[in-house]
Amino acid sequence: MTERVVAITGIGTLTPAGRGTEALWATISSGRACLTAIDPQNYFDPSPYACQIAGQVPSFDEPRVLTASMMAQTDRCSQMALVAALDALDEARLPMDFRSERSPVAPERVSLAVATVAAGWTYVEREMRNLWTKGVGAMDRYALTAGFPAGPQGHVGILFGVEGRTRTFVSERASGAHALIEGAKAIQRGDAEIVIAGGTEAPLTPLVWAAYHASNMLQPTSEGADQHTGMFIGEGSTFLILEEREHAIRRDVPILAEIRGWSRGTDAYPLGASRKQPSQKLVQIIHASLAQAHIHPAAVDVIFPAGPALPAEDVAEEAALKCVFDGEYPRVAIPKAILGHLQGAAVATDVAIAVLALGRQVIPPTQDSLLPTDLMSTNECTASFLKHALVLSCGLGGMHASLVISRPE
Amino acid sequence: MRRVVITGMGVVSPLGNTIDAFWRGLISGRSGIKSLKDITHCDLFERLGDEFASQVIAEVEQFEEAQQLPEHIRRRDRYVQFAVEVALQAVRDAHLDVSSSAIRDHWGIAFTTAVGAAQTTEDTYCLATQNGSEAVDPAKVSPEFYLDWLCNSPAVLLAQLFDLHGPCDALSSACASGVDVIGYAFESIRDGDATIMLALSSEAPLAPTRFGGCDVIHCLATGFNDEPQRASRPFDKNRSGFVMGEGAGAFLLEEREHAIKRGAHIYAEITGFGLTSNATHMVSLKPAVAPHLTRAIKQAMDEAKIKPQDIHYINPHASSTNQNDQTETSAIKGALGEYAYEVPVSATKSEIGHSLATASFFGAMAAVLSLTEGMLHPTINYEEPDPLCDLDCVPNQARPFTGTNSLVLASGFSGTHATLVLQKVAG
Repeated sequence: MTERVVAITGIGTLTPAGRGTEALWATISSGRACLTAIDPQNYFDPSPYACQIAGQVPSFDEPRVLTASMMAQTDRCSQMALVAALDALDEARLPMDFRSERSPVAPERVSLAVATVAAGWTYVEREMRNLWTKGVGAMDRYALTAGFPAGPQGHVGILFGVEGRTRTFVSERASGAHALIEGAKAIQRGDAEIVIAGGTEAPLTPLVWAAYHASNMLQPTSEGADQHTGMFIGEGSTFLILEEREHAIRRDVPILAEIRGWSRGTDAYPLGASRKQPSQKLVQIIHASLAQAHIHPAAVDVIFPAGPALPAEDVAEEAALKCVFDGEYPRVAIPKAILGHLQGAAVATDVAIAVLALGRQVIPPTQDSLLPTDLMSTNECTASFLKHALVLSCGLGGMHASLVISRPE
Repeated sequence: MRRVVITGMGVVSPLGNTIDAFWRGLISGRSGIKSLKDITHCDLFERLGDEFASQVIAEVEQFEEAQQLPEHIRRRDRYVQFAVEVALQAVRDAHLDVSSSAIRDHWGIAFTTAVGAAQTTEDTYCLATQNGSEAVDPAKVSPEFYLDWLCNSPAVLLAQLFDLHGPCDALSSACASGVDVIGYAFESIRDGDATIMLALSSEAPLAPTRFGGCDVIHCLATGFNDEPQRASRPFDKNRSGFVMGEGAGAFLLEEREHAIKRGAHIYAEITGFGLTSNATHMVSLKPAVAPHLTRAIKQAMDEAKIKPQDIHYINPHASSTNQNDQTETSAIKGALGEYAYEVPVSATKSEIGHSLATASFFGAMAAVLSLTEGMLHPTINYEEPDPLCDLDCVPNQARPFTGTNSLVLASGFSGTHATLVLQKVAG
């Protein structure tokens, strides 16, 4: 039996850069950050908070999925996920209902893996306010299912007829990697032919912003962007269509890239403590993911680091990268400096940009002033052929993951 | 193929906070259900409690173990404390050498919760907004609130407590995820991602917004508000919904050869797992979804390489809602055929209510203990048969059991079904 290879055949993305891969690429290659003052009309008045800027998704609409009824029963995180997943299905030339006759695959052979951190908190806060100011009778019948973490999983899976495995990962900023690894493993093991995998995040709601604010994880707006004292956060959703390579070839759809290697592991440290030592586990998992992809560190053309996130994490990540790449590290792309850290949606978005970079043979630039460390500086553009991207992620408490994204043969 | 066994267990439940108390309570047919008015851990119901149609809950009583937890854990939400307590119990029970770096390098965590920190998030919201009347004042939010709000903080805190280096994953796929997380950990070991996995579920949803979210869609029990101990009655004709509960469970899962080599006590082997989606409705479990649960049962049976006649006990989801119990009965018949009538099917929720993700974890624990203790706990409050729920539900009395394979079922909001086959250890 030949090995089952994980191909990417579709990308749907809705981020502060706008909707679709063209908009994403245009913004990322402009190198200009799209972090702006939080709009009080759309979200909340940011003035009581130290950090008052965030990556915000421009208004969007999609009548095929966002019907009046769907809008009424879902949080923004599900709405963005529905649009991103639909666009990914469109690009992969898949129907929007796997139960339909024109589906090339049985619905039970399709799986779904969703990453989110905040899930439907905008909805939950509204329901809390209704409950506490007007009583139980004012609560909405979707209060639980719109707000809880499994909301987007249910809304996407039900609408598109996903009858295989569906799971939601809530492992903070590592959740996106966990969802993609889940999808890749499902394809590799033969549990599914197609997996809709990605993440969605709508963290711009007062109590959630207060949680980030109080924990001092966000960079105060009064400090310059070059100081890097904390995270900038954005909202958005990106979903990928993962497909068994032979299945994609039989369907005659373009293979955009492949996920060739993955690994995850933990270097736990006390929360709140700063850590500047290189994480040995991160070094190990990078090597493990490269070994699975059958490449040496020197073959990596571009790295998408987990940062910029929390400054101490970034320092530890840089030290680990220096261990792996032994002085000759590849170029680095940092979409998070442009979009903000999209939390549960960050890894899928980084992978989407990696796929676009490999397809276009261009590494997107990042303004030096937005880069937190020396390592992150972009080098002179080299002429070498771009073949492999390494996408890293780290969740609070030292959860590391590494993904190898490669151009198809 | 790497095989996976259970070598440690831990529990915090409405029937007690040791495996022994949990099992004795279940076997004796005791109800852990009480009136919402008697809730002890959450004062948020004082103002709003009377407004809910359902007035019954299953609360963890006297969680005195909390006093022994590390100080930084005692400051966290109840669901975090439950999780850490059951994890410590399971690791102790497995007699694992936690000082060994060889063990810690290949040891991971798979955690689940359906809603996370219900009480602390609502307390904080009320404090920061003057009970919803004003905008959130961030100055009133504690610096550590982020750790309560996150749905994976128990996993992170445990990874740090044990200094382990394997995967540290957290799933939140609604109420089926108690079984799903066991399956996920099982596959992590089988696939070589880890040698040991701590699989755990924790839930403490008893706060007004989460309780109300279920109350307003009429899925909570309302029929026996004045007799709480009769309120949770799976398969009985007069069932009216589930009783929201709380608690946590943990299994220490281990690659079989590793467990044998270190001479660990083995409770049971996990031999099959199934996971499907019905893609039908966020909350409804109408009879049309039965084939999707049937499919999940067949997946687990196929993986375990067993036939219907090899299944000797089923621990069902049996939430005591009208729809679930009917649909589940028909799904079991779909997978087992006529043989379904010969298999005992007892509902753990009849005694301890429905603690969302943890509920099906409790079901898996009851199934393991049935294999090791040679008894089946009863479905209590079974008084009037429902012709649409006509399987042997072990009504009201525990009975001796000598079977080899147990099947555990779970269904959840968002349309998921998860199943597990547990096998008795020979000898």
